[in-house]
Amino acid sequence: MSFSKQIAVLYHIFYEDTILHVEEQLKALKSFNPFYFFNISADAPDQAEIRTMLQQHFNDAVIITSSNQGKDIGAKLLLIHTCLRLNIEPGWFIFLHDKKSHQALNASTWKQDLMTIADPRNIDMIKGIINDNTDYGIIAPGKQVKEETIEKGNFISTNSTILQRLLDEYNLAPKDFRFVAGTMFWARATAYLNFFKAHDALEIRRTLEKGNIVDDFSGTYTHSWERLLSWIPSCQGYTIKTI
Amino acid sequence: MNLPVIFLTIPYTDAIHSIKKDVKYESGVNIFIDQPAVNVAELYRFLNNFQHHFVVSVSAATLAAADEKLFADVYLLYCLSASTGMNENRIYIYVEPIGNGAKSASQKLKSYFYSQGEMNVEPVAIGYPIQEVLVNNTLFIKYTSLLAMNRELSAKYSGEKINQVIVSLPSNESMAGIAGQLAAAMTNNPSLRSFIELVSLRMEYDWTLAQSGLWKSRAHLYLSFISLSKKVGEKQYYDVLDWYKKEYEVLPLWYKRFGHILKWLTGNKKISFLLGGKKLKTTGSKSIDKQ
Repeated sequence: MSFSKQIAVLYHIFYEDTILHVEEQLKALKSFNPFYFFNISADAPDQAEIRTMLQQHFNDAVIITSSNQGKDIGAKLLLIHTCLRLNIEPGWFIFLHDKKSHQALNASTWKQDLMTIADPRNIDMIKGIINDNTDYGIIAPGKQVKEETIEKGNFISTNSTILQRLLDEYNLAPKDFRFVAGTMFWARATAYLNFFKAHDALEIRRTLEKGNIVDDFSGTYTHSWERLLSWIPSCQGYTIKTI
Repeated sequence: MNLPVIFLTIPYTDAIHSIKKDVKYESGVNIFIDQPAVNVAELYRFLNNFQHHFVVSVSAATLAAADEKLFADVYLLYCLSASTGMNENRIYIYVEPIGNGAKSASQKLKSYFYSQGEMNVEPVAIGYPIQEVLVNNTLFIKYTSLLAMNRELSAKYSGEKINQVIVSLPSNESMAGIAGQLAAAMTNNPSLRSFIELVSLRMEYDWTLAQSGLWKSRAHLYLSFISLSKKVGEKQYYDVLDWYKKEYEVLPLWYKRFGHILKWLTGNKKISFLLGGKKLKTTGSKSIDKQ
């Protein structure tokens, strides 16, 4: 199978130093001849320089600048919406962002694990997975695939109320409540395009919280949509492949 | 930075009919949205000719007739622009006549942008058709007046804090022709050249000032990260401690002692706990070495 223009890299940039290593980070993905979509946070200093360098590194990349609303989840929703409005419908998305999670004790390992999806050593394996299996909706690093805890049929995390509300509102019934913590994974684009053609991604983005919010102490729409982004393929019968 | 400060006004309906591949203009473009539905994909192809240096304007009448899809498209265009933020986040609303519906159109657009987290976007109402007017550091001027800029006019505007020039175009001229005339005028008309250089400097100054504000916010953010990581770390520490107390400390002493012996027998425990703190490395039935 030819992968040319079958992949869209959706990358959210929040930190100003990301531009120094993003080209190297995405080097292995060049063999796919992908579409590149970047969102630069409007909070990032030197954004004009970041944009110019992105254009130099990634010819024809679609670059947007947007508010820090919903953190990387808001950015990914906006990038999916951009894809749809530009009539670009690839076979797979690769969701990425420059995760640092300074508040997390395991931030460094977390990021390293997540970036294995763009590691040159894994690319042939991922190509094989995509070619061989039509049931996978998500390909993700195994260590970061978590399961939302359910006790007696109810969510029990800080996000429980919002999660239940969203499942009801969007009529979603995931068969699998695992999700990729950090939201960096290969995603079957059809599943997302189907969903977001029916439910405007920008409308959803309006409901997300502003700024650098966390869910350690109370639930958020942003962290709830982090879960839902992993569950959308499951609702359409696709499964998660861990690597 | 060498970013454009001149933006040529083109109605959306004309723009999507004049898409040309591999043409690059040095100026930016002011896309005037004059109908309630926008084909963003086609428009994006047109904007390639300007390296995506564009600003967005929309007529109040169009906004009044539009549903939220147009607001969403205006927002997407705003995000796609390489000039976003460089005109102090302004979006122009053309009103005919001035005052008619301007306030409600501005408010609706502002509310939509606010809901997308864009707190500083400022819709600015402008009378249409455009006359030569200076509004919020933006000079609106006719194309012929710009080309004919003389020393007096240049001097008049040099005292203002202009950081953007939006030019209305004659309808009978091709974009390539206009770009050619503008480039020639920049070479041949020193008053125009010095005026545009001044505007560029002002734009760079304002942009640098805005960036310095972002750097300050970033410094505060990093400080808040330090504080947050302490708070989270502390919470996780007490969570573990609570768990330890609830799950382990409550066990009877004989049970814990037995557990130690079991660990020692399986090679997972040093013998020190049996020898009053003397550090003897042992692995149960394996060899014992004095430390």
